[in-house]
Amino acid sequence: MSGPIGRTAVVLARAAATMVAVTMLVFIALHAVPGGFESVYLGTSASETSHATVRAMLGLDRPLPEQYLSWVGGIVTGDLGTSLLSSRPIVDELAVRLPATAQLAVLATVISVPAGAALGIAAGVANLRGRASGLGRVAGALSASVPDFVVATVLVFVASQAGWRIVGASYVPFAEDPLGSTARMLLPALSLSFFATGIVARTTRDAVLAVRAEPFMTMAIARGESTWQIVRRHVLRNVANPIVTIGAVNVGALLGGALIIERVFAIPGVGEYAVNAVNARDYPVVMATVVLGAAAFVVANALADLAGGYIDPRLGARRRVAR
Amino acid sequence: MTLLDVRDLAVRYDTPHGVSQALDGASLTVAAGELVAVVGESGSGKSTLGMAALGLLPASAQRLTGDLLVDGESVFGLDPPRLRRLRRTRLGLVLQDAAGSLDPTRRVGRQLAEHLDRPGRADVLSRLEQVRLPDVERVARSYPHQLSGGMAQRVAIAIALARSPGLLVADEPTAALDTEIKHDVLRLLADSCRERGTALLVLTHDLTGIAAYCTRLVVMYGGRVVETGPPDDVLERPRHPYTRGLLHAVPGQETVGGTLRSIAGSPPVLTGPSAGCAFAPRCEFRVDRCDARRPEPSADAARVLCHRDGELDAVVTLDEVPEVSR
Amino acid sequence: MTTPVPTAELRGVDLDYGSGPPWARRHQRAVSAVSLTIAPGETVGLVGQSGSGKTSVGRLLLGLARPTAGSVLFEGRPLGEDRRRHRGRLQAVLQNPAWSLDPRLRCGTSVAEPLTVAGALPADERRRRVAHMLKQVGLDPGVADRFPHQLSGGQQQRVAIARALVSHPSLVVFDEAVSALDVSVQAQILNLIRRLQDEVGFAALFISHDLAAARYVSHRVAVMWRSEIVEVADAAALYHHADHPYTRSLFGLEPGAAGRR
Repeated sequence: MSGPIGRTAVVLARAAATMVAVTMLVFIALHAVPGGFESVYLGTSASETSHATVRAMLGLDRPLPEQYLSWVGGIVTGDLGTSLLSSRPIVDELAVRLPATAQLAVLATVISVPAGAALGIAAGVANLRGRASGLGRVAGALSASVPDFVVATVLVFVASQAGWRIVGASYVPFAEDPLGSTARMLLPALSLSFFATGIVARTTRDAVLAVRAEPFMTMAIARGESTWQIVRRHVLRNVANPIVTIGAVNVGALLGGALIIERVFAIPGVGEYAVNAVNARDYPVVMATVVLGAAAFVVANALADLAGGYIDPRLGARRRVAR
Repeated sequence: MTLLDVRDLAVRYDTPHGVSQALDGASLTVAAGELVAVVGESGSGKSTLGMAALGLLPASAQRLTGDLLVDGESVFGLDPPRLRRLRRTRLGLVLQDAAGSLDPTRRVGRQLAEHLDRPGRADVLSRLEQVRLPDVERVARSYPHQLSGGMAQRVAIAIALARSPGLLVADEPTAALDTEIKHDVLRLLADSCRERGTALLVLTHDLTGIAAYCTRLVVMYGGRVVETGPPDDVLERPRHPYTRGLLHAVPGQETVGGTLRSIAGSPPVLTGPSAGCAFAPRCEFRVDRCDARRPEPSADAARVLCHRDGELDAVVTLDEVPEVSR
Repeated sequence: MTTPVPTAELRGVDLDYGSGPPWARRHQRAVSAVSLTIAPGETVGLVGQSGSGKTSVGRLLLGLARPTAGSVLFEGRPLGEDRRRHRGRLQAVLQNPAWSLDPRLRCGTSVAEPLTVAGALPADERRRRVAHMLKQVGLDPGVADRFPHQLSGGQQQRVAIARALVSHPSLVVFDEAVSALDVSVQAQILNLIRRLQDEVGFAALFISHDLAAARYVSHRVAVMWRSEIVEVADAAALYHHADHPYTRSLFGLEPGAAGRR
């Protein structure tokens, strides 16, 4: 099967299969926890009968496959379950918190991908011209090894020293004040994107060097094209695919980083919600947030796969025209 | 008029894996419009010579002595903008890996159009027709991976010749192609260069295969040019022992049941200037002075690089070694 | 040179390669109705352009591909029936010696490997055989202690040939075995193959895109074109004429083979 339609079908099928596997894993992992869901309500000293009552109330007395199916069925129809702590539908709680996290992650991606790509191309081109310095490598190592919260602390310190008043301001939803909200989100997003920018930059640099080894680059130089022409005509398209791919993979790292960044900057996002749920053993919420994170990751990667087919025609797998 | 003038050029590569002397005093001139084949095997320095002509030597390459002039100007003395201009206006390159020579992410027609003075659709199609491609509309719309090796090489030739350069360097342009296509592509290269008055420098390992398409053969060994001349002279009256050996070693020349006379040993990997003749260790005519002194080219046009040039025909008749007959 | 039992035989063999998912599988015919016999001690050349299916024929003979139709016989019995029986009896020499020599192993170890696989031999007997084999391919036995990267391309190919022959195979498949070598070294290896075959007496399939080289080392030459064998001729006859137009085109387009000089 080939062509754009077949390719799309394959990508979607793979994404769906991944999601099924993720939901199964999450379900099995959390139902294997000793103590069970109901202990959250009851504590450790409750009687057997009250255990049984609560289990029946939560549907935990049904066979596991049945519980799984009803849970997944709920997800598909938009019902993520009910929080054990607040007894409110998880969907309602997420609806309040998701925009903040989405805004943070999108902003961090919007910063890290272009910045990383630009840095990586600059480093790659400098390397081609024989001006490779240790600077790029040191910067790369720094971005990979310094934790987000340290970056956040430093950024906050620097920004406050510079008299940037937005630092102390509290979170405002995007829908209420788009500009102000984005401005307030800038420091958190910068902190969050620090790590991702380094990864994108390194991947891009390596891709530039790999492309440089291709004969068509030698041909371009032999035709007397300038460095800028070569970057614009040949390098950008050929390194676009690795950049898109790593950008999508980074979604996972960004969501993980968001847990901490939301704490540092007191942003009422999904990360904070998930951390609280884990601490309180609010299992339905933990399950819902993990599935949500996985879904974001899988969707991002599926989109990257689809984009890849348009960027690099070889992946479109069309047949030869003729001999 | 001399277009390319290589004067006693010596180039060494310094890499983390070691030092190698790719050119060890190579001299060669190519006149405008001449079709020259540089024949040599691995380590002969032919690729280094070709890349040097385009100012494309890697950073690890170091020029020890000599010079290389294009249109009377040293490519080693040009600053980057002027070198780029020289490449853009006067030089062209075709490589062995035809499909890899084209940008995989862009349609062939667009890549060609970029290098035309009037980048219109009609011009693109006529250029593709000139390199004898069938169904040019479809080829122009194709991506490189949709073309066969032979077709991709024709497109690469069309791009390289788009601005009618003075010199086209073709590095093993047909080594990756099938036998039947090989000769079509070589003929195309020779014809196209002749029509434009472009000088052609084909670098190849195939001494007999290229002969029909060039006006001069240049044989390289150990980083030097050891013999040059019109193809018929070189093939029928080879003077350098290496050229002779090569001709005897190529399958296809022997008679039924005959034996190929192989050259003993393998091509040298020089790490510095050779003290004597680089071919001496493999040469059946070697005498003491071959190891001790570097040979100077003979005074005539063939510029044979052999201490015993002129003596050999009198000294030796090649004795047939009887081997198993087939 | 005919004996009742050929060393290898292809009988009406088809080979298809499938690609794509099971529900939309495309089949491509790599080998079509090919019949070919190789007698003991005989070298058969197999010539054709890339994609003509000649390498697939080599894979069939080595048991690396199963025929879609027809049968492949080795010493009179279907190949693949008992793989153990073939150990060390079937060997290959490939285009790039690096493909068959482990860069981390000393050449002697690589050459001895088929012996180790074929069965237990005392260590000193193994060493003796390796040294003998290296001498036979024209190398100093001291090469056994060297690593492949310390040797030239021609020497590496000699080591690969030694490795292929050390277990006294009855069939050796040479797949473009001289194509990657320098012209001045090619003739050495071609002469080596001819000499060894006379001394050791194995049957061989010599796959090449170079008709002149195949004609030189072979007793008979088969020409493949678009997955079919279009001509089989005695090598000696190919010095005078070829029947199939495609074979003629292989010569006609090669000035070297067309008999300049």
